[in-house]
Amino acid sequence: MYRIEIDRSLCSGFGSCAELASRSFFLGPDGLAVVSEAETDDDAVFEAAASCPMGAIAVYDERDREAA
Amino acid sequence: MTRRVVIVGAGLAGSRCAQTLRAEGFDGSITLVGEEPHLPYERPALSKEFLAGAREELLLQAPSAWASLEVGLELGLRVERIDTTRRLAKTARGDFVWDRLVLATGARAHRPAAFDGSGVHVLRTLDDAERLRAELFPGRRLAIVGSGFVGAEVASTAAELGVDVTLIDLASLPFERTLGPDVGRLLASRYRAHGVDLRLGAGVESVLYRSDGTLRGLRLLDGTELDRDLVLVAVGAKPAGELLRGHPGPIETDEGGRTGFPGIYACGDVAAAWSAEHSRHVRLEHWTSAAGQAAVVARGILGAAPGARPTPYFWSDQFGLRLQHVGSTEGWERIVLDGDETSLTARYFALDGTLVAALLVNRPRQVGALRRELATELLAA
Repeated sequence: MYRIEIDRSLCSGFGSCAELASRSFFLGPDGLAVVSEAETDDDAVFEAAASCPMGAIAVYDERDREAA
Repeated sequence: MTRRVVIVGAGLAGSRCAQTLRAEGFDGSITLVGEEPHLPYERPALSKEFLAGAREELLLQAPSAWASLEVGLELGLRVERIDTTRRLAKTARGDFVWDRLVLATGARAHRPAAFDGSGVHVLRTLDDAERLRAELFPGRRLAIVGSGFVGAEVASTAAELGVDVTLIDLASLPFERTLGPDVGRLLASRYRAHGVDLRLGAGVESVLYRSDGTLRGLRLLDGTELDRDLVLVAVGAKPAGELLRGHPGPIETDEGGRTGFPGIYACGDVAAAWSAEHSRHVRLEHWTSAAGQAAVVARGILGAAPGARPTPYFWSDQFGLRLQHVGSTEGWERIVLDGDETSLTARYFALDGTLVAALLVNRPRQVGALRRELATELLAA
């Protein structure tokens, strides 16, 4: 399982996370990304984190090490 | 069988290519050769938060992550030349043998001959940014030549730091060609409202020096002399394609990042990838393009499906505005603007009415929707 965090102060609403890992992210009413499931086993979250131009997404593994 | 991948260039594109190769299961050797002595880092902050002293941490990933990915980093090392028949990358630390070579050499700040003296800065690398940052403090007088994204962002950061900023460009409005005259006028008035001495339609004749060799200022083409403490020349970057071309310039590739040479790929700022949409090679200096192309190249090396190329996107933070641009800066004929200088949407249409791009100023709420809209238009085209 992975744990996801978004730094919303960095998020620019680009939206690639919501496209690449739609199970885990969506764009909220303010246009910025929201984590819909903070714990997931979906590997797509790595692609989502990598696609974020603002580097706003952190993914932690089960030992709480930053994995992406 | 691909066992050895050598990637030349340790910027975003080169690094992302290495990361994607591992993420997709490649278990051969990966060597990432970088000319700069630093661990791979993010460039966008160099003209903004880093220059302002508000952010120091720029690494693309933690140093230990490179070791756990088993990517061999060869930093502070220049690839002198490549041997395309014996498949060697030749360096001062010896030859690296490759089965696949990725050229992600990026671009170098363009420094016209008139600007090669002391006191004249460029901004491309971390070292450039550190040198420039050390010179920016209240009361300093900075002349910036070129009102593109680097020039405008540095102008914004420096003005915020209390530096006296002059921004000079030959164009009659900033970003007129890419974003259109209406947006250009709004930005120009914004710069001036923030105290920038914006000189449009102005060119530099020469850099002036005192008898002791220190910089005195600039002489403009109309004869005006400006006394300044330092100069930043921000007139674009030249793609560093010399390893393949023999001289600087872009490296053309197909849509999958393949060059005309067997086993050699290119991605990032150096690469001009074939665009079916434009029916020509297109080079984009965007963060998202570099990241996207690098992943396409990595998957190509592994024989996997390339995945979609992202819609072109860039952003810029300047003078309290966040500009976000989706789509192509070329091919528009008509612009529909909605809003004012503090918050606006500009939509760029081709002659046939197709939406080709959109610019949002301080409207992050709409970016996701516009990206989807543009992706749909591109698919329909």
